[in-house]
Amino acid sequence: MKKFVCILFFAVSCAYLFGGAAELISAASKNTGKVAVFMKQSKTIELFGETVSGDVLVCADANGRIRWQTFSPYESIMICDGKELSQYEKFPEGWKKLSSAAREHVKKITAGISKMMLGDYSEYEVAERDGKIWLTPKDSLSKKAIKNIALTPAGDGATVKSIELSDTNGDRTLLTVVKIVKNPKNFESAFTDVFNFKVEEE
Amino acid sequence: MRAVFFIVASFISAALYAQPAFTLRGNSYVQRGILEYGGEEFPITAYVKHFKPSAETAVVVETQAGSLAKIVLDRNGSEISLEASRAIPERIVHKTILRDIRAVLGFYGLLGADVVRMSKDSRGVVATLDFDGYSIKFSDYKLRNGNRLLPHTIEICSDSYKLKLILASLGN
Repeated sequence: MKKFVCILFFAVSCAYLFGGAAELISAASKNTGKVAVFMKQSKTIELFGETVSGDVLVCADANGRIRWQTFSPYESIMICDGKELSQYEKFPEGWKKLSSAAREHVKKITAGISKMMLGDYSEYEVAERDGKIWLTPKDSLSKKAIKNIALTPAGDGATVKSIELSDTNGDRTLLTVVKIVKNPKNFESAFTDVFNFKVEEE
Repeated sequence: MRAVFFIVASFISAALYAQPAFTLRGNSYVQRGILEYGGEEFPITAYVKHFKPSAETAVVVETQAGSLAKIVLDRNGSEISLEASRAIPERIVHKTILRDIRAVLGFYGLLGADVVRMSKDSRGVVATLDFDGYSIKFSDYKLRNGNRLLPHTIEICSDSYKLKLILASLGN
């Protein structure tokens, strides 16, 4: 779950937090309240040497509320409204809500995400090289799962165009930003309308 | 026209009945589902890759916390390599994930059971498999990958956990 939420964080923060870079994008993040980011997700499995691709949508705000929706290759939704964490998986007979022992742990991490959403990256070592921003987790728990995260700035001084997460086990996940919607008109619905939410641009 | 129909129908029937009972074997695919363990539920993803020249099968099973196990089996289901995560000891991976993979792919001779009961449906594909308090139900078969009937839902029930997996996508 930790790894997932870290991916989540960097996915949602990609629109804001880091930049050339890191400081510019960080500053931009503080001026944006809510965001919906559509991304292509490509997971490369070292054992196979192959990539599995899919589509995701992440909605997030500076209060630490997050909706992570996977459209393919399978359908799932994770919502953290700042207090409760809910997860849903789609089966042929319909959506199923999960219970998870990791919830309390995830809530703590989500609180950390909120900090980062406000421009606090103190839990990561930040370096810039090869035109990318490299993030390395400081805490031992995160280090067990994540080797590093490479952010590629979009060049506008405010966003990144991709996030590549390298696991300690050799697998890599590349999130490529397809579209960013700032302050969606129906943003609140992302946390209340679990199954029918669609991003409406202002 | 009627003759053509019967010929085509015969070929389709022959193709269906000629296929092995465990039709997922030989395919590369992604499954997604829910692991129920200790009264809690966790999303789980299985990535399966079949290597055609060697007929080896590689499997990566992961949760949101990361990889649980990476396993490579030879053409007969024997273990070539097994890498367990820190979360699960290797001996538990043998008793759970490796057993699940072998059972799903039909390597039931390696399950370590004296008696393995299997039932097939009218099309000749496996419907259930059970032994020693462990059972698998294969259902929701659909024609995929060149008219191959593949189970889209697999439900595993053991004494300590339940697993429900949906076929999410097929690879090459």
